[in-house]
Amino acid sequence: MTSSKNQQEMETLAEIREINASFPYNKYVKEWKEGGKKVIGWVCNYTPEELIYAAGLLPVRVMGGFEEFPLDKANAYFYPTSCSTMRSCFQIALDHRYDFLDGFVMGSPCEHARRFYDIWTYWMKTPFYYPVGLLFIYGDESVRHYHDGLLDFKSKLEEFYGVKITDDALREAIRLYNRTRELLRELDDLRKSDHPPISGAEAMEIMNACLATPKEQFNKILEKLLEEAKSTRRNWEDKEIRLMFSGSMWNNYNFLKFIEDQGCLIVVNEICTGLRYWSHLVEVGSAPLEALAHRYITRFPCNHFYPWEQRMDRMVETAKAYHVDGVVNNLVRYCVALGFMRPLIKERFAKDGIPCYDLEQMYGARGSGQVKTRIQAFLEMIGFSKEGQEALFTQGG
Amino acid sequence: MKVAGIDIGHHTGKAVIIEDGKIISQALLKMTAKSSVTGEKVLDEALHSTHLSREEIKYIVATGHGRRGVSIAQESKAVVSCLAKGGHWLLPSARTVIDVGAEVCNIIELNDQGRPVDFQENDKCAAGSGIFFEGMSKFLKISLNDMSEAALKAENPTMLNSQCVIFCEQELITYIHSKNPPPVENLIAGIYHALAARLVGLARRVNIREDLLLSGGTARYVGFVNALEKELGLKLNVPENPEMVPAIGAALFAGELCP
Amino acid sequence: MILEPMGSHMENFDGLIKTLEGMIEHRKKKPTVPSSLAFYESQLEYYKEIRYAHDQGKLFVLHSAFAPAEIFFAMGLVPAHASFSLGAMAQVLKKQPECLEAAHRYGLPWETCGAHRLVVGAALLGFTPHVDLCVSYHFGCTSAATSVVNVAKLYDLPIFYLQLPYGYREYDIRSYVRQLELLIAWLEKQTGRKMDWDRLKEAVKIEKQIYEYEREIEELRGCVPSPVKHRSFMEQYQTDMMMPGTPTGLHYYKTVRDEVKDFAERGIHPLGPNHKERYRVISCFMPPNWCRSLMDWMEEEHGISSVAEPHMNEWSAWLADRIDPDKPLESLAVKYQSHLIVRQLCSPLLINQLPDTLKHIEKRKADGAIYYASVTCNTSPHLLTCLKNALEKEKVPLLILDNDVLDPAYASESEMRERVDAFVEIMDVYKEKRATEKG
Repeated sequence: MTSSKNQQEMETLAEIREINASFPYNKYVKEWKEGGKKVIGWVCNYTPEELIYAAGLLPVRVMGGFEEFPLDKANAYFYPTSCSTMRSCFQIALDHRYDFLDGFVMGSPCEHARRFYDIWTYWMKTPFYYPVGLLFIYGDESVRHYHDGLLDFKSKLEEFYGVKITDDALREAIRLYNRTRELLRELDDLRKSDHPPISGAEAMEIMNACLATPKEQFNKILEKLLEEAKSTRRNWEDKEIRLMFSGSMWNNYNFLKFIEDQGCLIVVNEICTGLRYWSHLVEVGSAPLEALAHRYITRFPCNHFYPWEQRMDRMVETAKAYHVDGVVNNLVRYCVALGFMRPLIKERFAKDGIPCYDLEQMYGARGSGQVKTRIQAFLEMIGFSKEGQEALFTQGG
Repeated sequence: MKVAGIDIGHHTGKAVIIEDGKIISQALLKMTAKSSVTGEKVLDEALHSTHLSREEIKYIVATGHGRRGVSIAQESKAVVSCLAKGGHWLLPSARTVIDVGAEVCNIIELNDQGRPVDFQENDKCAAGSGIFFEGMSKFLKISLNDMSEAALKAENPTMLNSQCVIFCEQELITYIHSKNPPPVENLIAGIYHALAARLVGLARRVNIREDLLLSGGTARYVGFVNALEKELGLKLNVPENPEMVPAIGAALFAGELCP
Repeated sequence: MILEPMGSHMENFDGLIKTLEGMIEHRKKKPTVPSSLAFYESQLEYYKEIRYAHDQGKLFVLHSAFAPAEIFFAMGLVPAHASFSLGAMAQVLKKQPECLEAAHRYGLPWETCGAHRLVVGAALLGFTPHVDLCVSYHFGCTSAATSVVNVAKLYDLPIFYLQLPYGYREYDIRSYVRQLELLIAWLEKQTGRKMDWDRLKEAVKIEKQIYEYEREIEELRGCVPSPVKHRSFMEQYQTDMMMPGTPTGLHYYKTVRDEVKDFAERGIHPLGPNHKERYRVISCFMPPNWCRSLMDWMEEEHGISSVAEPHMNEWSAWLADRIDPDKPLESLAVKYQSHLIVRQLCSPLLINQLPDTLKHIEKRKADGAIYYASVTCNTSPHLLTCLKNALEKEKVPLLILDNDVLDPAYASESEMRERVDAFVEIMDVYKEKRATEKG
């Protein structure tokens, strides 16, 4: 077993960083396009990637970049209280960095994303558009409705691109994406240990690259990463406190690093661009569209899904599975669903004795003095609480 | 014929007296509690240097947010109309007027006849630009003029990404108290840049066409003007007394409307 | 966190009822148009039903905006539109700051819609009547759906989740019908009552009639001068949102139709034959409820008529033909997908909101458009720039009135008037240009 200090990086991360450095048009996407094939940008995890892939198209998540930058151009197209994530995505589009997209698909329960779709379809020249239909209530009706939506989406893809999406192609796509999910799960499972092989920031870097890369190539990178991770023991000095990072979509890994630099380790990224992306496999065996519908609706839900208990129970289960000492619940401005939900999330965690701290940030924000102070105070509070528990244990034992 | 225009802004009152199409006097005073009182005082101040009496002023038009309270005015006109009027008179080639006042910013598109065809007023997040500069001046203990000069020397304006002036202030404080705070000229340039960027984001809702005229008290800060020009990528024309543009417009209206 | 018991401050609803009674008396003494009186009378009846629901042995349902209240009425339940009823109470009794403060203490950020934050705050303070059931309805507005969820969770109330899918497709209607079946089954289980299908069919029949009235009204709205009072659109959309399929609602719309027809036939504006209409505008989205007087001022000061409201008050005339009382659930599904504000919230911009806006320019002879951009609204103001651009291409100027749905401090009525004053000159410039081009 190779031992390495916590600041030493795993070698495979260099490849991840190379992909991210050329976001969003990385070498794999470039290769895909140069092969005469098409790329579809999507927002929101409820976009059925497998269906797009089975049509011979490459789905890549539209993201707002991995650092903080001015949104001057995008601001002119939105309203001041428009979601900062969507504005950041559009800023990148206005800088022509998404010109390579041949289609834009929105699979979202969120009105900010829907309006972003509207803004994109009005101003950009992307040839193909589609809003995926979605009911965000746990239950059979939602699965049925989503299935109807998949049929509609399938027919639109076939018509526009002149392809036929066969069940076999769909099963193949599902197998590929399931493999990605399995690998990501395996990697994340390693973070449950006392010595996670990767930090929260690094996990985010990996997800950023995953969402922008064809899965065939990325699965190979993940396999290499896993090999290295399993044989690496990292000592996280001064990072004894384990946190869950929860909330909305987030891609700025430096923000997570900033939090971790205050003396903690983020062991699970419970966000759309984290655990919630890969949760639940598609159960291949039944009719593939039905299987897709079932998986996409019944997976780990986002902040929009009702009833909230489904989400909150899973959040608590996850926090326990990863042995976290606390949760940072990050509301990305100006998220409505999380805004209304978060008092209940806090209460739910409190019932299980897990402290939960609320942050509000503009998407892509770098760490600030204010965040530093707040996180330090939260970690101190957790520290006192842990000491108290240990003292009790010692006294009792 | 002598006519006058009175502009009651958020912080200052202005008056301009025009005779036969020429400005013969102008004045600026800090606001009092009542628009009517400010209106009278600032007009009297303008009259003082001309040795004219109020009775000799045939028609008065008031503008600004406090215009309806100016009892000595025969009529009032919206500030956007007066900015367009005054801006076009000062610079007939102007097709965009950008007014950055103490609290309110306006961006106005003019047609070839100098009439307004579109305008955008700031949202609350970009509000208070003038006041913000004053606040930063006090916080940094540097005069407004010195701030402007300092910004011109900045080599690397600090990036401040806040949308809102309040958050901008917090960011600034974070930088100042950091281990290696940036040089003060970079911070000041950063402030100007952040507000200029915010304004330009707003301005993009309007068709910005050359020539551009910048009005309002903040137009006196060269550092800010530079930052705004850089953001816009266009030249800004600043009149000699940039605060007086609405009052000039009001006076011109007075000349037209006087029976 | 202090949680006041529900129904512990019914004096608030008493205050609202008293205020409405006062307004009705005032309106009788100083009449404007008949529909204005009918509007206030219908509101009074609605709030009295809520106030005395339990006294009359009825169950009370708190629901999100645009939930299919026809179903609640048909089951003998008393529904309350959460944001409008609690909002009206708070506005009239000036308890908005208190409610918002309570919501803030609870942990809701200010960027969530004020109108729906108020619902949660009012509940926390015990301002709501005792709620028996909650129905959360998501039709494109998360705030509207979710505030009711917060109330249900705070007070451990039974709740049903209903959603209108986004996309404006036929299979969405089928899903909605299935959801309505589930809703009815749930209500039957919760209340121990059965759905009165005859009553529901009657409600749908009334809705069909309302749509027929609106079809007539829509035809007449192109008349010059406008035969509709400026603020009337706010009363129209509010009425059907709150009391669809009811005899009270029907009476109100018949009154509107009768007076509009009368003014159109006489060729006069509701303000009288001496009123000069100078400008005709398309009103986009929703003015804040606290400044309906702004509509009156625009009409009286500048002669501005609102001739179309495509984002709030769009009555799709063809719906009257698709509403079939013998198929009540299908009819409700079709209606709600294309109904008023829902139409533009559950569909992409290019499908409904944009064409709905542009089609009125020529038909209604619009001189300009006004957009009421509510700062905490998460559904609509994002599309301002798109709309402005589209209107510019049609040579129609757009005025943006930033506001807060509840808080006049954000943008006061006088600030909005200032912007309207400036906009009037801009509309003049456009009108002069059109006249020059024609001549």
